[in-house]
Amino acid sequence: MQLYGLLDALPLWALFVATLVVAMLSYEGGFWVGARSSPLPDSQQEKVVSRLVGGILGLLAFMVAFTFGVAASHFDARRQALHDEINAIRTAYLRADLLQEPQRAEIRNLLREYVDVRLEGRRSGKIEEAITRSEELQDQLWSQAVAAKENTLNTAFIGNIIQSLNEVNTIHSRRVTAGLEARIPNIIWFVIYAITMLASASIGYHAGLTRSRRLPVAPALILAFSVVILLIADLDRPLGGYLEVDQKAMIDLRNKMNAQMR
Amino acid sequence: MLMGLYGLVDDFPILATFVFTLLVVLLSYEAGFRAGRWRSRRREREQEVVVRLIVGTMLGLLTFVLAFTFWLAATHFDAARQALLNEANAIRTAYLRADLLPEPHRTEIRDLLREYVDVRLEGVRSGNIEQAIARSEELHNRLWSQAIAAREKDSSPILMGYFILSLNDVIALHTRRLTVGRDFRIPKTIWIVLYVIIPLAAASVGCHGGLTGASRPLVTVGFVLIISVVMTLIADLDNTRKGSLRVSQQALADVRKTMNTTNH
Repeated sequence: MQLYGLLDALPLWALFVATLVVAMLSYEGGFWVGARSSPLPDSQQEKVVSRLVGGILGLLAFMVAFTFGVAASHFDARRQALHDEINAIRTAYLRADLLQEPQRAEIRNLLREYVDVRLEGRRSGKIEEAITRSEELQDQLWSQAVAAKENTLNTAFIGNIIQSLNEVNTIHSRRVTAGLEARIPNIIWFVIYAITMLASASIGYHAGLTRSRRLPVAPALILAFSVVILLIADLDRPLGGYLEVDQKAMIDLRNKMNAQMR
Repeated sequence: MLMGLYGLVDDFPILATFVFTLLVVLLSYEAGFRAGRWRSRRREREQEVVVRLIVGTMLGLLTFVLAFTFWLAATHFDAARQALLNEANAIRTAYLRADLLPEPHRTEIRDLLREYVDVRLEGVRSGNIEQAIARSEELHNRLWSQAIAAREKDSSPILMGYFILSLNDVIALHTRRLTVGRDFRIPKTIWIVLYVIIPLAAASVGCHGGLTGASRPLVTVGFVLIISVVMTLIADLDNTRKGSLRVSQQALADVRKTMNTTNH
């Protein structure tokens, strides 16, 4: 857990402002150094410098873009896991019909509570608590399924419900992994910020060295990178971002379960 | 505010995305161009090589982000197509396995499944998605009660188990198709970010043009068009229910045909 979430303490807007400020300061610093260095003797030297700066900038664009791709696929995986979970719970809920009372009603009540716990955990942000409670409920569901085995002659139906409950458990672990652990590691964030600072400083240095005026396009570039970095951070955060996996489908499931109860 | 903006993009007809993007790119290019030309008249000037590097990087970033977003949209489109294929297979399997059940449930279930396919094909054709969803879910409940009723009669739970499995698949794939179409979309912040970096990039390209020369090169038209086309394509792929790119319903229609022939 220590490996992730270093940046989570900052709200996203603060992260955006911080990125912008850090990059602009690096740019100004680079400019200051470049403007005070002695001018380049010939155009060959100048070409070498601009190739180097171009290389650093290209690397930054690659790093940021690939990290964006990774963050976007993590976001997709979280969404996918949620939808698979909904299907698994719904199937288990239907299959409970195949069991005898009292296990049928017991399992349905437990599954309803399971959905509530997950929605509530999401809304209140008390994830750890919801995980503990979910795992308790899984144990209870399992003992109900085992009890149902004693209570029936049709073992094939027990097989069906057992399969569904196993799936609910597996997907729970997948959601926990996708939500809390499939994050962009701190070391990548560290590298991105290092390259951003270095790249901004080299743009400034290059401009200063060639005795160029301060450029309007340089802040534009820095702004564009800061916006994309903000997007990566937003996609990467399971909670507390502008962008969260929509729980509407889970709420729909809750409503369907209630409708079937009556 | 973000939600409002998202809804706005979502309700755009696909063509409007094209026109909107075109205008955004053109206007920002023009603004950048004028700013660049104005600056080039002053004595103390930017060095062309510095500007070129920065503009190149900006375009590189834009290209990458566009490409990844395109890839996301294409993945979602593929998922929608896959969900439809899986659904067609699940319905076919359930229809076949209904043979394992005693009468009258066998005929009852087969009739319901035929109606189910009709409802789904009709829903997509007419565009009354909400109505088709409601009717499909009613049919799920009726199919399920038939299965439960068959269970009371039947003495072979293994065969029943097979049917139950496919019926659960049919229901699960309904939800899957629903969520793939409705929820698996490009996240709204990605759209916002694209519409922030596109004008920035276009303005920088324009600024570079203005600094170096007095006229706008013809290839600008290509630049403006290509960005608008790619954005339109992304929007089209992302929305499986609108635009020119839609998931073909052929697999489902084929299943419907085999249902008619096996019945008689």
